Amino acid sequence: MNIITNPDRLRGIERRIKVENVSRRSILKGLGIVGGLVLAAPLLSRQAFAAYQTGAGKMPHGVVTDPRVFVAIAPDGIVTIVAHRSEMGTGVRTSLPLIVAEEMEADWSRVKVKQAHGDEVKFGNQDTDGSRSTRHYLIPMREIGAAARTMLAAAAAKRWGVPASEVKAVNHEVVHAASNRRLGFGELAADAAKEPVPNVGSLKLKDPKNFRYLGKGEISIVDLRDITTGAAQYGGDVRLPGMKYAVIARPPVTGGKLVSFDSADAMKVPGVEKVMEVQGWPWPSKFQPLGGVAVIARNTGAAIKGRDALKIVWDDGANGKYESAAYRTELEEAARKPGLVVRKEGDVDAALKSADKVIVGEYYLPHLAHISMEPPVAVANVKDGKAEIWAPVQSPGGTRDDTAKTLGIPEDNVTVNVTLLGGGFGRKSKCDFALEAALLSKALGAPVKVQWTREDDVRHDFLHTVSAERIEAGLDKNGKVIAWRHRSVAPSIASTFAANTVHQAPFELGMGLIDMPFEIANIQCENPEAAAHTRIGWFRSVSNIPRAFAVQSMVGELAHATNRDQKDMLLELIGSPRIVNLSSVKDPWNYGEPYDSYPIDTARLRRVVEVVADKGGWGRSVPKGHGLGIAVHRSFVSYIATIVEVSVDDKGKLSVPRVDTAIDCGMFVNPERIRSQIEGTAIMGLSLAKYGEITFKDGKVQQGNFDDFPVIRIDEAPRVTNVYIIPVDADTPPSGVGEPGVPPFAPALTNAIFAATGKRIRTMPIGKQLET
Amino acid sequence: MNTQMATLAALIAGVLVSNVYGAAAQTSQPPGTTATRPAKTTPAQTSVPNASPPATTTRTTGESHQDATVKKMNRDEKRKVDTEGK
Repeated sequence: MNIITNPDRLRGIERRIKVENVSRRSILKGLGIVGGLVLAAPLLSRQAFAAYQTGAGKMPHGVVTDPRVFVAIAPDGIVTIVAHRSEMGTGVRTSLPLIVAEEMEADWSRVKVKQAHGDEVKFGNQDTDGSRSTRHYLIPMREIGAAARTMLAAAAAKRWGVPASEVKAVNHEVVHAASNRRLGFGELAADAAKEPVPNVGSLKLKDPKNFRYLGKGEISIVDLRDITTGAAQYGGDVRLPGMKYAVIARPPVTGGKLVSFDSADAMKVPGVEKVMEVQGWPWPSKFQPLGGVAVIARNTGAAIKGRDALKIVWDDGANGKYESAAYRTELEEAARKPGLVVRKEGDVDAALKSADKVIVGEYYLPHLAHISMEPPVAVANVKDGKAEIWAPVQSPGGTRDDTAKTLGIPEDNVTVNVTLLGGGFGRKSKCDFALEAALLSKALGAPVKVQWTREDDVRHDFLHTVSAERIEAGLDKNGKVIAWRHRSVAPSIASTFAANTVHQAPFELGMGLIDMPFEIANIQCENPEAAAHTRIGWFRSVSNIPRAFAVQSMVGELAHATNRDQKDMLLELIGSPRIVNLSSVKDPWNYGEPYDSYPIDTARLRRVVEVVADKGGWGRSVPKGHGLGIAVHRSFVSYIATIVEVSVDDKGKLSVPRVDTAIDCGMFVNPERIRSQIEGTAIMGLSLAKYGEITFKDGKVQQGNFDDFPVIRIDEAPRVTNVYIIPVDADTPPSGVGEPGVPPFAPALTNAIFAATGKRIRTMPIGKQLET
Repeated sequence: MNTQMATLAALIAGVLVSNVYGAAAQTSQPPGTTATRPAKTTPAQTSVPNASPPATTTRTTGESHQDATVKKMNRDEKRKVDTEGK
């Protein structure tokens, strides 16, 4: 299904197509509250009502809670709520408006959702990443809803000549019980628009026990029908009159440059109109395009064929000898030597020397590619010093900013329309593909769609880093762990912005390394040097993947070494219920959140282990060839414990009959979405564990598509996935859901494999390691 | 009746045709390059001989010379990443 995004051209069949994006003219044009002028309220750094603070106010452009920015009511009563975060499957496009609707007492069946364009001055921070949309916006969205409710009630009270305290909004109406009068939201909208926006301090939020929608899990995502009937509009569905189609041949090695190209054969391909060089920037250059040669055609197929026909000579540059096997050897050697100390408690060297036994685990995890189902794609129309972009981007504000800078035009002249994202996982928080479209459109004077093929997506990704983790655990003669040294070596995401980067950034160290929560007297964490030789980026749960794999695998190894049950060993290591003190760490990073609101609470860590063990039947007898494994991890300030049951046959074929996961994500909005995210992380976790590996030879990625970078198919998916959401009270700060399910899956799986077969997997992916 | 028989015949023919294609898919070689399937290899796209030293964990290879705009973009993003993580 295509969308025609120029409403002036709607005619005939196109009239049926919804124009999803909100124009830069007033979103409230023709609707109830306020005409024309949209104001942004002062930025909030403090939330008025919560018993807790979050890091929302510190994000670029902070938080906006003016209801006139987010809510409009039509005379017929239809409420339109703006979704300012990108939808990539987490359901945030539904959840955030749902919070507003709940608080304003709107009837959800009479609510429409509109996607915001990129404008962080108007909407506040729009970065959809870090599993933080709900935790940052639960209270602000409630404030917006409460403000709208208050304005509607005030309008009704004025009309009836009664005190505002005597009226109440109930399910899309305002009611005066004493006189049994009622008015619908639509009838009140125009008057409500004249009411002042109430001071945040005067708002009354609903008692959570009166919630109709939040926490119930009965609301489907707003796009469900469109997605399942093929009507949903993704980046690739955008089509503009006169649009050209482009694919780009990019330097195959990061940092490489174009030497020469011959387009004669490409120009002979039917449909190809032009071949031209695309500007690239020397690496590292944030998210700027790699450059290369673009084939412009009348359709994508012709462009792809034309690109295949190009003759090109590259200079691969300084990374031309990047080779995965050799680099792995370097990483593992670095992990065996002292590195930069990033956490130190007690005296690990002395404790290891005096230990009765030392267990050493060395773990290796390769680069990973995001491979969201929708490869990167963007449409741009640059004309007369203005640019309009349509793209599946996780950072619309960032895209707008970078487009303006790249084209050398004012930011006010750039419009970024956000389509649905067919998956993101962090790849689409980098807007290089949108910048490519903008550059080509500017050069051609026409709208251009730049489509990445799957091969482009795999070979030019901002890959998940490659990592060697080494843990030495010292035990006393009673089998108690008295020393823990963890060395983590991996090239940093910071290398994408700074040459000469050899250590990981504080945020990477804070993901499973320096925040390790075990109660051990002597702990030391180190980060030896590792330079990057390709673009490294954020991948769903980021550095938590290798760290959780190493730490939780070591728990399994310790359990085996001391002849103990894995779960018992895990609870013993977590230790007593307490708040973990990281005073020995210089720059403790806590996902951008204040420790007061989001401490490392081992009671919550223990609880998810206990819940999953209880509900998941830990210790149950399983058939021959089966095994159970358990793992727990805190990430994005949530706590998740997972049990995986595996079956390994006599040929080494692995299957997963059952997965159980307990998640404590604080106050939650939409349990149906939480369940689906955790089910999804079981699929993703199993794919990565079984097959996920990007390798390099001569600086080039060796993989290209699902034939050599596979994902699990339906016959390999876990048969049963159970999700247990820990109930909490409404004052418990909400925490992440989109990413935390990933890190504990792989170690739970490999602990289960060990239980089933006696074989310890320390190198990912599993691949053929189980074959006999 | 004739219409019904014709419809039934078309349906049966359709099933038979589908089965033929199904059997072929299981046994045939992967299809060749088409307009929508990129070539697996592009022998005409090559690299000049590369004399770079091995890419090690201690040798950084990023370029420091950037235009002023990108320098600032890099700096600003690094600062943002250091405080917010993303």
